[in-house]
Amino acid sequence: MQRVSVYTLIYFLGRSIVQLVRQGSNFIPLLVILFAGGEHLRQLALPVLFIGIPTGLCLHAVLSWWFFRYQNDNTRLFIRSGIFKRTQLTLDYARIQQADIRQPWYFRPLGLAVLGVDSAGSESKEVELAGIPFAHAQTLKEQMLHESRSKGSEQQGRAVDGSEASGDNSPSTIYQFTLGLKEIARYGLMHNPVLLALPILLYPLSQGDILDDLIDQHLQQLMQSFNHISQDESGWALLIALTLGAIALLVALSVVIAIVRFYRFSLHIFASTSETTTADTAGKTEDKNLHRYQSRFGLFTIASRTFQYLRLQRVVIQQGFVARLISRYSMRVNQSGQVQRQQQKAFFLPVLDQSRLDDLKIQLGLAQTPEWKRTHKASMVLPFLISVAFITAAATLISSFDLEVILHALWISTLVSGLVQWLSWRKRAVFVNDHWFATQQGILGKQQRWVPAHKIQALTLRQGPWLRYWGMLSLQVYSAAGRETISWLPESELQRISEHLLTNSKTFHGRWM
Amino acid sequence: MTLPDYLHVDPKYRLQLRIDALINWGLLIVASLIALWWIPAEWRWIPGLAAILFILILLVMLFFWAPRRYQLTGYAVSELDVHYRTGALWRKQTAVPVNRIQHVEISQGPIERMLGLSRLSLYTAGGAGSDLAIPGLAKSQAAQIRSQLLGLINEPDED
Repeated sequence: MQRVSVYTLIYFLGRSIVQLVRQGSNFIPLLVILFAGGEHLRQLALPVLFIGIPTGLCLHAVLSWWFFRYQNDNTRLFIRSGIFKRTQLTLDYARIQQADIRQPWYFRPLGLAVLGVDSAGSESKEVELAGIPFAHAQTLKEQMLHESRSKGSEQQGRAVDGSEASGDNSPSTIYQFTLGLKEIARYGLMHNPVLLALPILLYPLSQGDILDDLIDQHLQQLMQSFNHISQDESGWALLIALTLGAIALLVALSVVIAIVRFYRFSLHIFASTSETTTADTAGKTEDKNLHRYQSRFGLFTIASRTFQYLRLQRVVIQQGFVARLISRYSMRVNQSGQVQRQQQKAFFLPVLDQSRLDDLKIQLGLAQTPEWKRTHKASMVLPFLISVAFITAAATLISSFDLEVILHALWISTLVSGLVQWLSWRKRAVFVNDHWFATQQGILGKQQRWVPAHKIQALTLRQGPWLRYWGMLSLQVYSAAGRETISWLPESELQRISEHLLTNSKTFHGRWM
Repeated sequence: MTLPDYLHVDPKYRLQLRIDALINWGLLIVASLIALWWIPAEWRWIPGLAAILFILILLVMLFFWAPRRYQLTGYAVSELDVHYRTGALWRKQTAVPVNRIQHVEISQGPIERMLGLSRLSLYTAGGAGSDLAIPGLAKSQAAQIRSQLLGLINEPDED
């Protein structure tokens, strides 16, 4: 068993801080005692805050590093960790479904890296091996993925055609691209994290006097100058300019975040040809299941992410409203695992133009021109009625039963809700073929979710009284990446789809993750 | 889904449903009666009305819902898949391919133990929603289905 580099103390210190923040809420009762316990106890607060906590964190980091040991051979990785609660983990390479290498900014000058490993199955584990030399991390990752691929192809070969297959070891790049700065900037336009974070950031500020003290004074000055010039039209021009300036700042920030996160994003798809020998054929065949997808991106922290086609559980193609205006898409590939982990660990392609999307659809084996089947129009009725009733009822209560307000609320909610429901119905559709089950939804944008038909875990058909009245059903399809739902299709149609998916899954005996 | 030949669960399941309903709605009735005793006279009509409503619901649950629910609860186990259906007003049919089952579990609550019934749960990799639980099985029946499924899961692929 060997220790990782001593420089890894930085990583362990960071991890200790994260743990402290996460478990900070547990210390709230302690704070109450500290502040309610009189002057003596309160005097202790500062030393605890500035000496005790940092010392504790440093000690925790040093001990974590000291007790962290690892060892690896050709088939397994052993990790021993923990200060009080000691854990010994044995991870078979064959069960590893994803191995990523990260090079945080503090490891880059030292040539060190973090190897993140994700294993499959219901008892899933996520392990990070930090502070190992970059070359060693790459060798380990290759070893892990090779072993994992070999097992996959072996089982796949046996199950699919009764042949003996052995993963060959000469991967060749069959597809690749690198995103330029302009394309990554487009992701900043499509996806604005600043707008999402703004309310969260503003909430704590609004609770104190900081916001009032800082902004109120300037705001008053601004209002005074605004009042001077508001006599003419230049006042409005200033207001519009200020609003546009604020929007431009938000967009610029979002573009900068996108560039920091996805700088020089590159995708490589590697194919391993496998020596396949069957009763009547012998030679080299290319198996899509052995295809390996690898991405590399980042300005300060360079991340590298990999997945093997065999492990694919779901593909999500997303096009929001702005993305639609600039004709771009994003794609996320999920593997099996807990839903919470999937957003972070998914294989993500931030910006794709139409031609790259088409290329990737070919590589992933998705249908090029799917024939989407729309749901029944009656699906709009109930949500429409509920939203109209809700908005009108709210307006009635707020206006204290003012008839004029109620009538206005009624026609406005009818118009808006009708439009929203119609736009939503137009996008809602399902597609099924021999290989995929796909759903589509959206209002202004669009999201498609593709699940391999032979990897489905369970199916549930539901029918309440309202659906029964219309002769319709609802189908929930569970894959190892989550649940997909399609409602409001005729009973016979949805039962046929359900039967088709079940047959596909129950007769498939190959490896599915 | 082509409807498989569903088997009924054990008839004692009807009794289990009735006991469950009696406990759940009975507690609400008792709470309403206690409130009737304690609150001022001018407000007593509220718990009184609630108690009458809960008693009516309980009667519907005991004499209409429980037999209907038992009637519509069924399961079918084949070599390739397991089916389960339930629900009177909100109907639900679930199917799990045998080759996707990760593990099988038998559980018994206190009422089930009293009635000699068991619940068979099948777990897949699809998360909590995709797990299938068949309630109201006789203990021996649950054990027999479990061994049948374990046998099928561990069987090597024929292909």
